[in-house]
Amino acid sequence: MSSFLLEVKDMSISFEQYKKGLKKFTGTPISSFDVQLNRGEILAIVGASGSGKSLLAHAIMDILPKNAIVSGDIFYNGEILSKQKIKQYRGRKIAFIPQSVNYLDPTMKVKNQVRIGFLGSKKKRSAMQEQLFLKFGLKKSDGELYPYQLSGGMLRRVLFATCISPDTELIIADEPTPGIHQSVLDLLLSQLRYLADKGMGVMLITHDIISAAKIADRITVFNEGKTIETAPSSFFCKNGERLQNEYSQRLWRSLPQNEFIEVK
Amino acid sequence: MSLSAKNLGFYYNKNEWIFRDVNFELAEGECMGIFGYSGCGKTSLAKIMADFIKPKEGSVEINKETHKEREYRKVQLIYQHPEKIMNPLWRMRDILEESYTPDKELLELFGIRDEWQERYPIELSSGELQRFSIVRALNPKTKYLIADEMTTMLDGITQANIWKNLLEIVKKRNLGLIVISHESKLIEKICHKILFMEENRLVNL
Repeated sequence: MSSFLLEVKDMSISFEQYKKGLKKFTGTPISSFDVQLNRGEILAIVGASGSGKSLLAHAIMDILPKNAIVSGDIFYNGEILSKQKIKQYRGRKIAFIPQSVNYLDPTMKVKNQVRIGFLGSKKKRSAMQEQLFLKFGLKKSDGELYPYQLSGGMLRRVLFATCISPDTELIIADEPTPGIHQSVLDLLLSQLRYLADKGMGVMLITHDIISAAKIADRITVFNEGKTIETAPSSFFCKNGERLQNEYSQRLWRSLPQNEFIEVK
Repeated sequence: MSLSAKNLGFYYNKNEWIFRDVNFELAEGECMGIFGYSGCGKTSLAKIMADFIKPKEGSVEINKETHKEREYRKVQLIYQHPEKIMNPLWRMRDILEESYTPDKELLELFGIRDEWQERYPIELSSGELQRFSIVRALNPKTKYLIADEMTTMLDGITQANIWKNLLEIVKKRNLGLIVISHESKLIEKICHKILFMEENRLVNL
């Protein structure tokens, strides 16, 4: 029995694809991945584009396409997270913030999409939604709009609002912050930290190492389907000389705030 | 030779103007950054410049001419959400070749692997899709590029690489480039001039 909120042991994800005609071949983007997440902790997962970070989140939520084969064990609160269990927990105990704004329903006003997960009377639900919008710097009138009428940054905040409900124990956030300006970014990050301090576990998948270093407890660096290094977030500072791995160091130094590229 | 915005104005709901009287000029070979808060209309402005949507007032002129129907658009937009501008029923190869057939060198420059070409958009990560979106916009007929939050879904190393390669091409072909981003550090490093978009107007920095 483990005491972790979420534990992933030796997980591999492969895909069966058809090449020409009926010839099958299998690709394995993630092999033997391990992760542990405590209650009250923010674990950030950073890594190269296409290294399989989103797949990882989708595998835990069991929303991968049908041709995916997942092996290994996922434990939630010490018990195996089976397909029936995740169906129960999804959207209640375990919340997911997807990376793509395509996950919003284009034919539904955003206020109603945020209210979906809430329980209680109509009045109570709308009050909760309005409160959340206020918290994230969205106007009440924005709730009356459809997704295509909102900007990228506003849609991110709507997606973020959909994950917060009173029963949530674990938040898996897949790139919740691109395209958001600094002040709102800080707001969202401090909200995540606040939720974690209240006892939730947060798995934050991101490219934004600066933000991750600000709020996360630990940072896992991920490349080509493997964990490279897990370090306390305080190691991501200055030139990154405290990081063990050469790839993690390069990742840190390549940011626009640091060395970036030589431009005349 | 330049791309200019003349008194542009736009709204979604009647008379709730998102911006009005937007004017600027971008010469070929010039790089301009647009910076502003989320929801201030940066993407709507980009869509208007690339003729995705029509402005409610004002006009966009390329070398003193407006966009022409049934012709290749000389202003190409690299969109913020690549997954929204790819036909989900087409393979990547067809998506790319609808614009033109890029040579191997260009594909390699942006790290596009050959095997990805046979896949459908849903089988690639959004960072991988974005690279296709960039290459697709680099049609030889393109004169101006708009990069709307182009690299927010990429990790630092890939981001630096892609910017380096893109800026080289922009320089070689003498393209005009508009960079829209929230990352002020990024804009400061690569742009010649910066516009700050405030409530309903543009301010020169």
